[in-house]
Amino acid sequence: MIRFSMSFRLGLVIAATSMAVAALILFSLVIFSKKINQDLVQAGQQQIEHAVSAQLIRDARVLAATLSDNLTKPLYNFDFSAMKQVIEELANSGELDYVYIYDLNYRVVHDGSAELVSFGALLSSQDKVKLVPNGQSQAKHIAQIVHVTEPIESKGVVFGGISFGLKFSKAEQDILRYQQDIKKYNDAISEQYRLFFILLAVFVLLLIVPIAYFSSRSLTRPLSHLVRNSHEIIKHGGNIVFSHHRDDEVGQLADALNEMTARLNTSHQQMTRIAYQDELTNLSNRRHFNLELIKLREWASNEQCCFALLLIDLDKFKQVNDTAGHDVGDLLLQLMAKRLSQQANDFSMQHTGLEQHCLVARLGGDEFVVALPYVGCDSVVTDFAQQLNQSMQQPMNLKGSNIKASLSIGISLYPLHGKDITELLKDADLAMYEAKKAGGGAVQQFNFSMREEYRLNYVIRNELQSALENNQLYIDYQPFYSVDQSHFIGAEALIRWQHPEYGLIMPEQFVELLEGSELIHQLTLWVVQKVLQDSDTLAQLGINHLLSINISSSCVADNRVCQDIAKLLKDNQNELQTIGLELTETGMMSDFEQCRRAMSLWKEQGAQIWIDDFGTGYSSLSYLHELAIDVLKVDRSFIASLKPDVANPVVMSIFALAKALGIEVIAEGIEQEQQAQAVVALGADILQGFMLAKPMSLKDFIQKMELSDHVQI
Amino acid sequence: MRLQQVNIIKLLWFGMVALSALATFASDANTLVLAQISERPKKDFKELRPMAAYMAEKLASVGFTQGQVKLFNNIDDLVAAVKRGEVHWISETAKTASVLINQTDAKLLVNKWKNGQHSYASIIYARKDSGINTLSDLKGKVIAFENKDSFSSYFLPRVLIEERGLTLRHMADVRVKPSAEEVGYVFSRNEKNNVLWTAKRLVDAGVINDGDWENTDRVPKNIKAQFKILLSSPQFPRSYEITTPMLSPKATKLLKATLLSMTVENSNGVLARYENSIGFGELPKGYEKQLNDIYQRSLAWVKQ
Repeated sequence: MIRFSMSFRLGLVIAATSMAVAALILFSLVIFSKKINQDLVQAGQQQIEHAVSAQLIRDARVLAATLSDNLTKPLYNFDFSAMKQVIEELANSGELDYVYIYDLNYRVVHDGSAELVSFGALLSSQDKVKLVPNGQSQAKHIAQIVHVTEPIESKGVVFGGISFGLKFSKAEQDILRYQQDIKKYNDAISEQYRLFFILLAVFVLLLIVPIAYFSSRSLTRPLSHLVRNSHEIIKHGGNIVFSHHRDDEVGQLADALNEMTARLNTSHQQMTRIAYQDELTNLSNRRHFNLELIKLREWASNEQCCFALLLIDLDKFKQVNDTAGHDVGDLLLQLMAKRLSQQANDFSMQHTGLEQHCLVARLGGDEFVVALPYVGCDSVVTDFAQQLNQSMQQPMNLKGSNIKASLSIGISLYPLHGKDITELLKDADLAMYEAKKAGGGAVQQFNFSMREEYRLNYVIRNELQSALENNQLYIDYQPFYSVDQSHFIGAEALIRWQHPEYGLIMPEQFVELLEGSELIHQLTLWVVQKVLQDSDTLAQLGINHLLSINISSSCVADNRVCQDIAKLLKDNQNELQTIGLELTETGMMSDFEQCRRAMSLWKEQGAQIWIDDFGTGYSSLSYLHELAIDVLKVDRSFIASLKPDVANPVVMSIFALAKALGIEVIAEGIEQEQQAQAVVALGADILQGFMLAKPMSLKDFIQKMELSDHVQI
Repeated sequence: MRLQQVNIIKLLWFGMVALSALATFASDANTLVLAQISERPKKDFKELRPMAAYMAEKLASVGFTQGQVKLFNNIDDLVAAVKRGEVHWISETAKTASVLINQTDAKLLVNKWKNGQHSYASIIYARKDSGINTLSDLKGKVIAFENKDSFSSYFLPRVLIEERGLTLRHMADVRVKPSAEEVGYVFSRNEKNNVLWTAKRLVDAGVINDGDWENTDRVPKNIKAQFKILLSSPQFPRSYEITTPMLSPKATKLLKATLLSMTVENSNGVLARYENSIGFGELPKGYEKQLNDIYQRSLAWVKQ
C-alpha cells in the first residue's frame, strides 16, 4: 500500500478544501449570474414588449383621433365613399383586423366592405370591441391586436364611433427580433462570463496549489526534521539531538524524542554490555570476541601482521569450586582475567605498540581466550604463554584459601595455521586439548596432525554405528599360552575396525573415545555376542576353550547393559567354554556396589571375573577377596620391567598375593623369552604376548587350538 | 407613421396647388392651362397632366412651351377664373359646359369620348323590394342624385322626373322625409354613395349614368341584383372640350385639329390616361340649344 507523506496529505487536504470552497463560490456565481441574466433578458424582453405595445397604442389612438375627426362629416352625411377612404387610410396604417363605424345606437354604418355587409347590424357585447358609451376613447393591446375605440363627435356632441383592430405584425416581429437580439447579446455576455469564470477557476487553482504546498510544507517541516533525525538515529544510532526552538506540540514531541533517545542510548549501552561483556570478569564474551576477532583478522590481513590465538583453560577448576567454594572460584576467575588482560596488554605494548589489538575474552566457565598480535618469531607467543602459566602457578591467597592454579594453553597462529577464524579457534582448542591430555599446566602449540587426529576422532564418533551395521568391525584373538609354552589354552578377544578410508583402526584409538557414550554399550554387547558365537563354533569343533572379553567401565556402571551381558552369557553357554570378563581396577572402584552386583550377575551365568592391567590402578586387597576375582592380568609394564637375575619385589608380591588369595595370574605383554621365564618362575599361570603369538583371526586361532592340547583351567 | 405620411402628402399637395397658382400669376403666354372642377384633385391632376403637357408640345408652334392643369372646387371658381383669363382650355360635362358658355366667352370645341363612351344615359333605379315601379311611385319618396353639377345624375334625371309632372324638393339630408305629394331629393356626392344609399335604404331611388351602371366596381353584382331600372334616358354626349378667349383662334384651331387627330393608337397612352378617353368628335347638331336648355332649367331650379 502506498503511503503518502503527512506533508503531502496535509497539502492535499488544504488544496482540496480550498478548491471545494472556491468551486462552491464559483458555482454560486455561475448560478446567480445565469439567473440574473435570465431575469434581465426577461425584463428586457418585457420592457421592449411594453414599450412597443405602448407606442402602438399611442399611435393607434392618435390615428383613431385623426380618423374620427375625418369621419364626422361623412358619418353625418352617410358618405360611405368618404368613410371608405378613411378606412383605406386606416388599412394603410397597419394590418386591419376589423373596423366598424357605427351610430349612437351601435348600429354599423360602415364595416369597410364594398357592399357594407354589416350595415345596420347591431354591435353586440360579443363583438370584439367593448364600446364606450360615454365617448371616451380607448385602446388595448390584446394578443397582437391593438383594439381601438374612438368616438366620432362634432363640437362635443357624440353621434357615433369607430372601432377597429390593427394587427402590427411588423411591430410584433420587431419585438420578437429585439427579444432574440437581447437573448443573443446576453448569450454572448454569458459566454464571456463563462470564460471569465473558467479563467478565474484556473487562477484560483494556480493560487491554491502553491499555497497548499508551502503552507503544508511549513507546517510539517519541523516534523520532517524530527523524522530525518529519527532516521539518522536508526541508521547510525548515537547522540543526535532533536533541536527546536518552539513550545508547541512539535517542540514537546522533540523533547519527548530527546528523552526517549537518551533512555534508548542508556538501554542500548546496558544491552550492549549484557550482550558483549562477561558479567563476572568484565571481559568480552564469546560473541563480542568473535566480532572483534573479525576486525582483528581484517587488520592483520591489511597490515600483513600475525596474531596468535591462545585458548586457556584453568586446570582442575572444578576442584577449586568444590573444595574452596564458588565465590573463591569466581575470585580466581576474576584474578585470572585481570592478569590475562594486564599481561596481554603489556605484551602488545612491547611487541606491537598497538594496545587496542590485543583481545581478551572469557568464553565461559574456566575457559579464556586471548588474541595476541605479534611480530617476529612465533616463539614469543609460547614464551608469553609459559610466563602466564608460571605467574598463575604462584600460590594465591583467596579468601583464606591457598590456591595454586595451572593453565592448559593451546595456541594457534595466524596466518601460519590458517586464516579462517573458526578453524583457528578450533585449532587452538585442539592444542589446548592436547595440553590437557598431557596432564595440564602445559602450553601446546597447534600442529596439523592434531587436526588429523581430531578428524579421525570425529570419524570414529560418527561412523561407528554404521561400522557396526556394515560389518567393518571384527574380532582378532590373541592366544593365551600354557606356562610351558607348549599349547594354546585360549585367547583374548580384541576388536578391530577395518575402515574403508583410514584402514585398520586399533581399539586403543577408538574405544577410549567412545567411553561415556551409548556406543560403547552397543560395541561391548556386540563383542560379547560375537565372542559367544565364536565360542559356540569352537565348542562345535569339540575344542575346549578359554575366551576373555574386555568390558568397559561404563558398561559395568550401567545395570541394564550388565543384565544384557548376563542374558547373552546365559543364552550362549556350552560345556567346552570358559568366558573371562576383563575389567579394569578403575572401572571396578568407581562404583563398588554396582560392580559387585554386575559381577554377581555374570558369575551366575558361569563367567569368570578378571582384573585387567592389575597394578596400575587403585584397588584394595580386600576387594580382591570380597569380589571373588578369578584371574589377575598383571600389567604389561610390570612384565616389561622384569630383568634376568634381578628380583622385582612389587611383581613378586603381586604374584604372592594372588597365590595367597587363590587367584590365577596371567602375564601379558611377554615379548622376550627372559620375561616368560621370569613370570613362570614367579608362578604365572598363563602367558600372553607378542613373542608367543600375535592377535589372529578366529580361523587361525581355531587351527592353532586344534593343534594344541586342551588344557582345562 | 402612416398618419404623418398622409399629412405630409396633403401638405405637399397644397403646396403644389399654391405653387401652380403662383406660376399662373407669373405665367406668360407660354403656358397652356387646362382646367376642370375636381372633387378628387389628386386623381384628376394625374389624369389631366399628361394631356396638358402633350398638348403644350403640340401647340409649340403657337407659342406654348409648357402645359399646366388647374383644378377648381366649384363652378363659380371656375367661371371666375375663366373670366380672369387664367384658363385656356376646360374639359367638362354638359352641365358645367352650359354654365361656362352662358356666363363666359368660352366656346365648345369638340366632344370628348370620356370613359370609353361616345355618349351616355341616365339610369334611374330603385330596390326591387321598394315597391317603386314607375317614376310616379317616387311621390313621397327620396331619390339620390350625385351632385348639382352632374348632367347625367342630376340635370337629366331631374328633367325626366319633372316631365312626369312630379315636384321635386331638396332634402337637407337623408333623415328628412318629403311630403306625400313631393319627391324629395338628396345629393349622394358620388356614384358609390348613390348606389349604397339606395342599397341600404337610406334613399328610395338613385341615379347613375349607364357607364357606371355597367361597372361592377361602382355597382357590385350582388347589389345590382337587388335593383331594378325605373328609367333609362336617351344617350347624350359624354363630355366636352371647351376653349376660352385666352386661346388665340389659331391656337384654338390647332388644338381642335390636334384633338380630333388623336387616337388611342397614335397618342402614346396620353389619350387613355386622359380620363380613359378613346378619342374626340365633332360637336353634334343642336348642342347649343340643349346646353342652353340645361342652363335655363338650372337657373330655375336654383331659384326654387
